Amino acid sequence: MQFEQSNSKAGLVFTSPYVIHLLVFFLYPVGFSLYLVVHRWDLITDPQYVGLRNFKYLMSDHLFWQALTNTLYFLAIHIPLQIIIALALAVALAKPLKGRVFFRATFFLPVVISGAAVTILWQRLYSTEGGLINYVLSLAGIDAVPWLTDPGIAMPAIAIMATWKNLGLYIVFFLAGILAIPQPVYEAAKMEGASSWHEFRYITLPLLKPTMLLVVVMSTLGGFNLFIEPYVMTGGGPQGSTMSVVLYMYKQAFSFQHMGYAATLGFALALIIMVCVFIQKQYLDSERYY
Amino acid sequence: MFECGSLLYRAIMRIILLAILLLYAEISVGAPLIYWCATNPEEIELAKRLVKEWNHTHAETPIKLQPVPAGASSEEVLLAAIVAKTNPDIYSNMLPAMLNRFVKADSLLRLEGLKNFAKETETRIGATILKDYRSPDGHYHQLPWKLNPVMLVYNIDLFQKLKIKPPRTYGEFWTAAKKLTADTDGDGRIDRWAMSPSTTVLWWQRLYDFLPFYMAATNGRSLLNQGRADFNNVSAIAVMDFFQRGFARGYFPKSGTVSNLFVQQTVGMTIVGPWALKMFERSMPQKFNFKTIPIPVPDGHTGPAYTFGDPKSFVVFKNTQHPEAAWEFVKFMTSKKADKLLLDITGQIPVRKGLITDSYYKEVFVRRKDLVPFASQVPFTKPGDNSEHIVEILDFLGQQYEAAAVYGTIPAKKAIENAANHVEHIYRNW
Repeated sequence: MQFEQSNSKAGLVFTSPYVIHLLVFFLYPVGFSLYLVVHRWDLITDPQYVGLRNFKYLMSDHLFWQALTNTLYFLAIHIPLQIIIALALAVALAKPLKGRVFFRATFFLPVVISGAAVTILWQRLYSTEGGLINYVLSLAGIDAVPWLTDPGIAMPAIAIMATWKNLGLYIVFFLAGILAIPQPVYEAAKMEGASSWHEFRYITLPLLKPTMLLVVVMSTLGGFNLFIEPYVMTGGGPQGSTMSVVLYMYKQAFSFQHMGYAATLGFALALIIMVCVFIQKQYLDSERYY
Repeated sequence: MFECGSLLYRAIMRIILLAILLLYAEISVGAPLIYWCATNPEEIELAKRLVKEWNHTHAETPIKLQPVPAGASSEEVLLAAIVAKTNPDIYSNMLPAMLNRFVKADSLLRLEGLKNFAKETETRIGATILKDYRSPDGHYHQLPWKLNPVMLVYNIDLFQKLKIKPPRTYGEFWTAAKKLTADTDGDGRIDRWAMSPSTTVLWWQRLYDFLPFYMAATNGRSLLNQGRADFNNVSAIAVMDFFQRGFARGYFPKSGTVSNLFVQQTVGMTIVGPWALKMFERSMPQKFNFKTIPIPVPDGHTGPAYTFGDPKSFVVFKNTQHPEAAWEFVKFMTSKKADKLLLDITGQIPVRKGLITDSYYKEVFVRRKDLVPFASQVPFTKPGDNSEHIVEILDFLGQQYEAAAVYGTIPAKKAIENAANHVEHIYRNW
């Protein structure tokens, strides 16, 4: 009995740092955000109860729907692009190439560089006048492309940059998945006369399903949180074409001091992410793993 | 661990006691007043010099200088500081347009109750200008410190070479723009433009393009009048149309650039305040002469060309422990001598009546002739609207400016209508 009591005390002591962390940095902010959802608050005066007014405003706020459409457009470019390139590079890097370690490190390098630094670098690369990309294009006789100032091009340009930044992480995931596939499976396929394409299509790809799910879910979460790139490179423009939901939320909160509405946007975004991830999981989990 | 009475124990106890006493002394007697200044090198140099002088003669109320912490805008930083209760006692970079938000939060000290406020402001500013800085609640929460009239600067050498007259009206501007815009290296692409107004939607950018042109076109009208849009008029449409034409005709580049086109002589004109002059001199790859003139006005306009003054004021926060000392410091920072240093070191214009005719400042204007046009413009400047919604209003106006002027997707009239309707929407909803 005494042992059990002292054991439970020790358990409490050992778990208390995590419990405190959870209460202070997770439950309290979530609880406070929930409180803000039904209030109007400008940070410096007392919050004012407004009931469901923030939700009603959200439903009719065309800027929110534009930001959501932009974010989904970004995801539609970013996720497939990231998966295709990361998978191709992972397959290449899984082979015994010369300088493999160097290439693995090189591809991973952008992941560890500060997001703001990478964004500023790409802003200079994309600059219409004097940007390196347009300079290279001009050598081939191609006219300067307004990468960040054309409403039709700005979001794909940002998606390319974000893909470059995160590629290394997903290469590592795919590489780990590929290296975990038992070699005898490939050997057996070879003996049956399978080509490289058949090996990839009928062995590598199906056995990478769990990794694929992880990459898709992580890319989706990262994509919905698109912020630093449009914040630094375009400010949400041109013509609102790169305004993401998180950037819009930031603007509402910290530029306009609409804290209650920003909290409502946050909850709406969380709900949308949950639905998307649920659908992805249902689809990718629906087929049997080998 | 230590024995009571041991040498080590006594030493530790004495150190703790001394620390407590020092802390108490700091809190109760000589706690410095915190003063936040702007972060540009010239203003930091000015503040350092004046604070050092103050601390030399006011040991009982020392000032601790700190440039405003980095952030998207100093106003955002200040709001965050108020929430966290880490705001300074005194701040010198308050944009009057943002003041009402702080007044509503009851975070600023009313200055009219302080010693010699009326006398001080009458001597320095005068009642006419001062009333532009009164808060909507009828009180005074700021002491206007400096102005940076936003004006048109042009490249004299380029204008002379192309035989262009400095533009006073839109018509003259288009004549100049047509000659300036050219393909100078013959590669089939335009590489020199008339001017390069910002294409971004950042709210404060409209303070340096749409607003000065609107004030010039309307003899100094601002955007709001008692919580309602006061710009749904022909003048605002004419200004929006001016920018739309400039972009549509290719006189203004739409392309994203990260460099200053004026110092590279890639544009012939630019819209700036006096703060930019030193920066121009520092960053010119090749020296050239430039001159400052008022913002162009619509053809047939009568009266002076007003402009946005880009003013900055001193404020004292309500939670200061030493309001009188803070006020004394503000008076010291806005004294005749300090104003001369402000003019000389930073090239910014003090809000002081008769500045240009006062013999005390003559020596600076003789040395810095480039400041004379800005100082002469001071009587024709306006501080802009003091509204808690100004950021959102200018942000939406920026979106309409982008759509109408930069991309030409909506007519100028529609853009102005949308922006004016949105003002009503903001006041109704927030």
